[in-house]
Amino acid sequence: MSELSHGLLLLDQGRLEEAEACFVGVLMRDPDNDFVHSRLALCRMQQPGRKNDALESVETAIRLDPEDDYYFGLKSLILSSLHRHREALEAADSAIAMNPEVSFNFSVKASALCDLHRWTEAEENCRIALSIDPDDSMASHMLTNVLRLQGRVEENQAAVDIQLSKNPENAYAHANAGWARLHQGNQVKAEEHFKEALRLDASMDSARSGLLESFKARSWYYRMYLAYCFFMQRFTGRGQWAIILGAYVAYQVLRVPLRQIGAWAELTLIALWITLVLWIWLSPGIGNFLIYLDRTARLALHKSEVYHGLWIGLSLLIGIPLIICGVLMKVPALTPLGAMLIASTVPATMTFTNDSRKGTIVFGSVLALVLVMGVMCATLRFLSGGTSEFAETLFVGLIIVTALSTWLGNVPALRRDDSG
Amino acid sequence: MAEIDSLKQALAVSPDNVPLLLMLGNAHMASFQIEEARQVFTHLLKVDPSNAEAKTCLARLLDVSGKSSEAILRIEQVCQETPNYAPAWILRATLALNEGEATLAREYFDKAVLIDPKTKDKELLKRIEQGGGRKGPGTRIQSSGDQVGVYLDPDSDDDDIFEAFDVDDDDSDLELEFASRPDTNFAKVGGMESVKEDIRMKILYPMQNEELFKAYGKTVGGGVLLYGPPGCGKTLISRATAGEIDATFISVGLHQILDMYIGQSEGKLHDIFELARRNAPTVLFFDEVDALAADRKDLRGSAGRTLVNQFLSEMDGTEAHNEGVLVLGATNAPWHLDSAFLRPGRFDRLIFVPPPDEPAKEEIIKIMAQGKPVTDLDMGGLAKKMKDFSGADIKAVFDQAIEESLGQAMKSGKIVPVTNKQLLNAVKNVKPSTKKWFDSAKNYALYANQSGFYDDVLTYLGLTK
Repeated sequence: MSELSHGLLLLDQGRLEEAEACFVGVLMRDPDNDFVHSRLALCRMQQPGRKNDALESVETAIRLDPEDDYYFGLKSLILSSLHRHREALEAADSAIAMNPEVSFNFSVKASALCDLHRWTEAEENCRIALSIDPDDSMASHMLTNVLRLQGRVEENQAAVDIQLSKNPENAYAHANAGWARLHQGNQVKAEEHFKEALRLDASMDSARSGLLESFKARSWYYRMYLAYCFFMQRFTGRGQWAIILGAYVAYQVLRVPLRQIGAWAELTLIALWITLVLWIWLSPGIGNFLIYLDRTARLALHKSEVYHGLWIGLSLLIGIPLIICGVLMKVPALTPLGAMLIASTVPATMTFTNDSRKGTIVFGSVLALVLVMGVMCATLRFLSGGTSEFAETLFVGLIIVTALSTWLGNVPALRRDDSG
Repeated sequence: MAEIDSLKQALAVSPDNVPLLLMLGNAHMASFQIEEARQVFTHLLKVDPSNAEAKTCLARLLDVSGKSSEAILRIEQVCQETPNYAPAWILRATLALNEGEATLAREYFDKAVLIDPKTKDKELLKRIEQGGGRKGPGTRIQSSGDQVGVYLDPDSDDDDIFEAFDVDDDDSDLELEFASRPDTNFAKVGGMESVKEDIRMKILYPMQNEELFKAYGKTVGGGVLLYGPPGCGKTLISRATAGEIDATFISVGLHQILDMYIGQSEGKLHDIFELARRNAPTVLFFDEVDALAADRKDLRGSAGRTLVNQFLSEMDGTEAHNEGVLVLGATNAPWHLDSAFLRPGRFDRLIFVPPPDEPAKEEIIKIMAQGKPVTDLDMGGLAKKMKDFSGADIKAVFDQAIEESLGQAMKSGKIVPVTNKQLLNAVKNVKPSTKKWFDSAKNYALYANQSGFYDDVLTYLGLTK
């Protein structure tokens, strides 16, 4: 076993930094080895913040051997991870044009199409890949996901069953089975599969997050939330925006006739709308909070998820009684404090568990602003005995900032991983 | 060029600074600025007339300038004046080879490697051999009392070199760098009391009560796996273990086994086990054992599978008894080991080596500070601030603080001591490298701990299911 094969073993084991050191060592002696550059790219692609380095490495490999279709396929995967989906698709097409006999190239194209939420075409490419090589695990795993994301539950289950029967000791097969069961609303079976996936590969993050989702799905409201998420996943980004805007327009249109029926009817609709928005926003945080209360399940949470859960849970638990006390006991300072805590849950959701650094900064700033406005408002109300006009302006401002942040949360650039 | 400029700036402040002059001279040489390099080294010799490195560099410059005869004379003189300076012998070997004197070149080469094995230049050796350089004998470096250390020359054809271990001539190509009864023991390793106690219970007492074990039908030896974050003293504690039981200690690195040719690695592994059996009681220590004992699922169709099978077979002692051979393995990634290695009779005892505790950190700090201009050192205070730090992290702290002082020293031309405050500042800049390891280990301890292998990790992290 040479240094290169040791590096390849480490890469297979997911020990990326050690593998990288081996590949760099080989390249010091043989700098024009395109194969090693490609493996270095593969290694860097999987490390946070190293995707641009990975792109550079694969481009070096391509420069050294522009005839190798595998390098174009790899480049497509790296571009996908950098959210450059159109270029990823082009690179995948180049790979296919160079060698249409290799299943990997079609799998890569399917992956790029998945990122663009073009499920039908992605499915088509997965099937081509599997017709070339029925054992192509990448295509097989992607096909089960594509079927699930299209809501084709039975076909998805059938594909998962085939995967499991072929390789019952495969962590990916169990993770796919877990997601399939979760989609079907069977969180107990899902939990079993995710645990098995983690037993086989404890470092598998999709299985860990699946396990968390299945823990959260023990409550009925979270199962509804998951159903909503799975429904929305079927659509492209534009489709999702159309649904959100459509719902908002419908809400505004409905308000007019309801207003004529009576103020209570309009207020009920507003309350329902706000509940719906908060339900969508706060469900993951409430789920994390409930998991935190379970001594065993909490071990699966990352630190950021713990902070997220605690912020949402405690803000709601303290904020709601504060508002009730403020109204009933007529203490003017309590209501804005309670409102501030509840409002803070919206930007907090996008602060603690956001993959986007930009997004974390933006929502972190919004969170700070909400807290400052809330504290100022409560102080002014306390000092003026509830007569300060500026305090009222601040209160309205706090509500507006929170409402705006719910719209801001739909901007993809503020949610996706931008570590590069 | 930027390096040369900054060195010149530093020298403007401190024109007679020997280390700086050496750096500048070497920088000029690296940039092929022969005349500038010569001037720098000549000036250096005025400041420090006995500097062997400068003299060797001047000889090399003469050779580069085509004055090879003069270079040979100069280097002969350096070798006479400072016979323990290995790079001079290497240059002398190179010059001799260039003159067609391969046998002489080999002699000089062997001398250099004898003085400092790190100077061994495989390319040069190859050229010497191609030129007909006779293979020189391997040389015993030291042999006194119960301590034996040998440099095993891979090309040696002299049986005498292996006498200490009763090794066949064929075994000489094992390239074992180190095989000795180590002079370290638990008393010389600061802190790590829980690990030591674990080792006493799992290794030392069984070996000390061999007869008692035999009465119960148990054999002494077997395998123990040390695992934990990198840079936390697994190798050190292994050596100390060997020192405690007064056994021959054979440390085997990955590069000594792995061979690019199919079948060679398996042969080397067998030879190492044979060597250990012949010299029992022996502690056979495998560093980075996860590469030799990797999960066969990860190896798929690769040739590494046969190496794993060979390792299993050697540990089982299928061909020969392993009585008195204790196999110690160290790894950062025990979860990548083939599960077959964790069965009874193989690595059936696991010892978790956590990051150093405070007394161990203080010991490391003491060692790091030795021979360096460090003032007002508060070892206890520093150790307290180094939560989750590995030995390697502590070294990084010292490196940072020393670099800062060195920068100031280069400007002032005087020794600027490293202060406790600088070390404390450096602690803030160094992130403990063990955290990443624990992130991975936590997942395995939580989800892949059906046999309870990682219970110690859970306990260390304060996690209970």
